[in-house]
Amino acid sequence: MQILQNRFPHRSEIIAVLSVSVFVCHSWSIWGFLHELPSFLLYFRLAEISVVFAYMMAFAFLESLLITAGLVLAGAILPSKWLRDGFAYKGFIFVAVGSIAAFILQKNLRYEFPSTQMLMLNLVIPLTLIALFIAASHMWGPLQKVMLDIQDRISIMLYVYGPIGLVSILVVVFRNLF
Amino acid sequence: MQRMKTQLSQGLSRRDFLKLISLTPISIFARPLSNLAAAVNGDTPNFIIIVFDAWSASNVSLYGYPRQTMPHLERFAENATVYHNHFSAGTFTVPGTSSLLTGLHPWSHRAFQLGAGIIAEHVDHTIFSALAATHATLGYAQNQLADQLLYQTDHYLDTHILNGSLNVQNNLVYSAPIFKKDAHLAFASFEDKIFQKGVGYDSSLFLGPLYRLYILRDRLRQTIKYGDNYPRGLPDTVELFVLDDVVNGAIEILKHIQGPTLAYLHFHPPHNPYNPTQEFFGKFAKGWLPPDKSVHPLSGEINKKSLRKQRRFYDEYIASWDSEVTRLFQFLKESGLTENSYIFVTSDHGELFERGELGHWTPLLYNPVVHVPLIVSRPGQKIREDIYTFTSSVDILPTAAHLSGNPIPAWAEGKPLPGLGGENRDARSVFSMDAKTNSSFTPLVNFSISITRDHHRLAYYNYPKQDYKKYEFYDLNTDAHELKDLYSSNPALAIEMKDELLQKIEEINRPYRR
Repeated sequence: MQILQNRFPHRSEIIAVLSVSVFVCHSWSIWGFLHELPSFLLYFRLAEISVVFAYMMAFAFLESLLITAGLVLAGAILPSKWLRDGFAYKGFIFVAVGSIAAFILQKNLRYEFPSTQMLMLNLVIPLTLIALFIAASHMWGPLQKVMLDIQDRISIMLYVYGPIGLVSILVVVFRNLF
Repeated sequence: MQRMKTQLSQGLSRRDFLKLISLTPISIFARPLSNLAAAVNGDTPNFIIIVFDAWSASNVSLYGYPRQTMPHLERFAENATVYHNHFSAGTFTVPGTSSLLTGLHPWSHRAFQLGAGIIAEHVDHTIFSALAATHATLGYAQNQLADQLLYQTDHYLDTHILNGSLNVQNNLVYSAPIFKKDAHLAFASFEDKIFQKGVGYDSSLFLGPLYRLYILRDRLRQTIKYGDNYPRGLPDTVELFVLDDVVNGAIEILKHIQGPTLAYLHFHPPHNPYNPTQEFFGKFAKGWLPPDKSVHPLSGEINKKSLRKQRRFYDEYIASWDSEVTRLFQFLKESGLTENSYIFVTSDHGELFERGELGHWTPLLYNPVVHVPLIVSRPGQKIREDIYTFTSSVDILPTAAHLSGNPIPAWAEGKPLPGLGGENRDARSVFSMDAKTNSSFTPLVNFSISITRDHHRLAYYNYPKQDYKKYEFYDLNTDAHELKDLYSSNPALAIEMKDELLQKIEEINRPYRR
């Protein structure tokens, strides 16, 4: 059991990474919701709009958990130096670079399946950037500190988005069960 | 059904699925007869409502279109009643289908916008509830927006065939069984925002693009598999499908009708994209050309060349669909369903290729977008009848209620169709409207509405945001293409119709004024 625990990052670091994932997923989802809100107001009542918001927040929360779980699992599987040691700032880099890469991929994906070359670029460039940032922050302490400071400030949002996500999951479950 | 869909995803071919569906226990298709026994006797007919989406009477050879787009439909019509002046109450799927299902005009059901539904007050007022006492009910809508409306009335549907059942792709989240109780809002959340499938940005930042990749790869795979026969690509509802599978599936569905049933089958063709089979590709490349019409100020200002090209593609797609759907008509005849069923073939709205406007996402209310086919086959009908009285899509529900022996619901705004229990009334006013930029909860401010009566049409366009307010008046007898606006000459009938229209608008808006 102890061996297994040693493989995983520390709980506080997991929460720090979760807070970044939650922040990114929820903020992006809220932006999307606000974009659609004017048309929703034309035909949905406030209660219905709230339910749509709940669906989006519930999904964003589950997505954040999935992203964090994926990173935790990767941290446990990969050599410790790669991800587990300094999980908080490395996880931050993964989520931040991953968000930009995901945004660019969304922008490029429309009606045609992309070429293998484009897909490789979308995979290789983010991974290279992640590796570079990790190396840079490993070698240059102030960069690591800046990231951890940002993460620390973002973590406050976990106390806002977290409960919203949990309540939203309950709303969605309740509506589909009863 | 869901179990079979799961098997399908595990490698069962679509054709095998269609064969298997015939083995599905009949009990899931038919309501326990004990529920109906009191009201039903052996003579109670079925009602089969077949809707082709975005199908304009203006492009159908049966209605005088110069291109031979639907020769097979003409054969079906030999034993049916053809309604020559039938109009949809709305200009796109949501208001058009809502009116068809509720027997209400858009100003009453308030489903004005893309993604909107029937308002709570009328959500139980549908053709399924109107016939619930005497008929088992079955609904299938290939168009997701129409399927939303079926979900709204789901508790009156004994069988709701899943939207993607007859498509070659299945990638819509809202129709997953876990969302069955909340499909309308799940649709607004998932299909409109979380996974947008190529349009805009997904609200799911990380999983969204991955899901897009999965769907695009699947589209590529299906196109490689079935694409040879579709030079412009596979027909597409957001999910790809092939025409013969849809018809085969519909036949399998209808094979299970047992006991009096109301079946509503809403097919996506000939809705855009207009992707005909190889056989009809380029069929109308030469020959007849449509008349020129001046660009309307509210149009998308699409150039004439593009409109002509798109019209040709649309006509080819209609012809392609006609050649497939004829097997459904043949099945209805050979199976004996034509002997004990009223079969309605109609559309939710039309399609426009003129005046700078393309498709049906338009405020314009000219014939091509509101004049839709209606062909009704009575049980055992052997000769063709033609009816020229003006009728509306809101008339389908009262007609079915009347013919099934149910009371015509008090909420219904239509009348039984002439020839099916209704009167031939030439002076009847038929309304069509569009209010997609208006709120469902406020008086009508941004809208267009038309009244068609005595072979004349008065259209009123009121768009204050665009500083556009205008009446147009056409004599449909002498000017079927609506080229000569007679409103400025102030004819007495136009004034009379304008008064009626303004009175109607006042009546519509009164409950919504604070």
